[in-house]
Amino acid sequence: MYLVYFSYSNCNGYLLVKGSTIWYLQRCSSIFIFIYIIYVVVFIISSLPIAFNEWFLFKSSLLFKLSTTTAFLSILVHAYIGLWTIGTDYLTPRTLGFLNFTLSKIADTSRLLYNILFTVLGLLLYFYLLLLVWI
Amino acid sequence: MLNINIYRYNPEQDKFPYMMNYEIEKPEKDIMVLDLLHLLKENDPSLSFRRSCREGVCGSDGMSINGKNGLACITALSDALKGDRLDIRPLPGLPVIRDLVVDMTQFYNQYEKIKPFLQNDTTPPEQERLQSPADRDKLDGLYECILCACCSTSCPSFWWNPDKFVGPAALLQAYRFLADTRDLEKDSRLDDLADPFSVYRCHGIMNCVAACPKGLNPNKAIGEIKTMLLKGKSSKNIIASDGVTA
Repeated sequence: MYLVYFSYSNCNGYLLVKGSTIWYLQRCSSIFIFIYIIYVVVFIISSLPIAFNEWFLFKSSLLFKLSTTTAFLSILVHAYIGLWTIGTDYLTPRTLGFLNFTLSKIADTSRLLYNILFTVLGLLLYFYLLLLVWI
Repeated sequence: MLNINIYRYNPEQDKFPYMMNYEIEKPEKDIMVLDLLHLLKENDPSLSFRRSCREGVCGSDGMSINGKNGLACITALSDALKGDRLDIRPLPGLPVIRDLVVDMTQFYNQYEKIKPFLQNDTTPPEQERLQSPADRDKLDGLYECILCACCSTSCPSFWWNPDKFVGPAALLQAYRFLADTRDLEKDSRLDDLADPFSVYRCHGIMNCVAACPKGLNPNKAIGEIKTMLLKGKSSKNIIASDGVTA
């Protein structure tokens, strides 16, 4: 129920936070994702040709586990903001009304379903990744 | 011959809008697009458009000229033509009242929202509230806006959310008062703009800068507002650059 409430509040355009918070979240998450990519790419390049043992030790290290968890949380947050923006731009009675009057009538419901869908998919993918990294 | 296509819609007669084709002899001298519309209107009095000062001051005749928003009265035909073809449409995104005349209510609602007047509850001096020349210079490039709506109606964010996103024209005016050292309501002005839509729906695509017929830069003003919002609340008493507490 909380997820539905959360999605409903957000899909109506009020992301429950200030614009500057969203701005910081997007920038900070992208910077962290960039640093994470550099960290992994540098390991791969410096270890070429990689033996299984080396890769296993790297992926078992606490630093890798923590950074991967944070990097994918960053991707989750970054993608959530981006998809929320797309929904509130294009799945509205006004925008869909440019295409078709019937579509404009179901725009709010479509946006709510769209919000729930990407929130659930994002969380499932994230928990699956946590399983892969930590277990 | 010039091939002119003009958006026509009369809600009392037409079910849907349509493009009407006019053919007209190419004028010997270079004229403005507004003059061309007047020539067409002589033969077809039903053609409707707004105009007033015909010199780029009143901002009445904003329209989409060959895909670019601009003022018909200061857009030369030679600059606007693509070959011999000219397509004229109303400003995009606003409801059409008739032909090239749009309903500007959404645009003015956003302008009203930013409180476009000086707010200062201190006792007014006998003559006027003074500013240093340096502080006055901060308002250059801001106060010149004529509210023609060419910028806001060229902005996709304003097309999609004209009720929530303030739009470049009104944000330029919002910054005009945020940058004014005589205004003492900066905090409440910033509070009004702090939500995720009012300012932050601007993604900096700069259509507003390309469209502005007065050569202003709303995108820069929006950037300044974002910086103020990210830095947090200002001090209630703004210290003017000449050291006088405003």
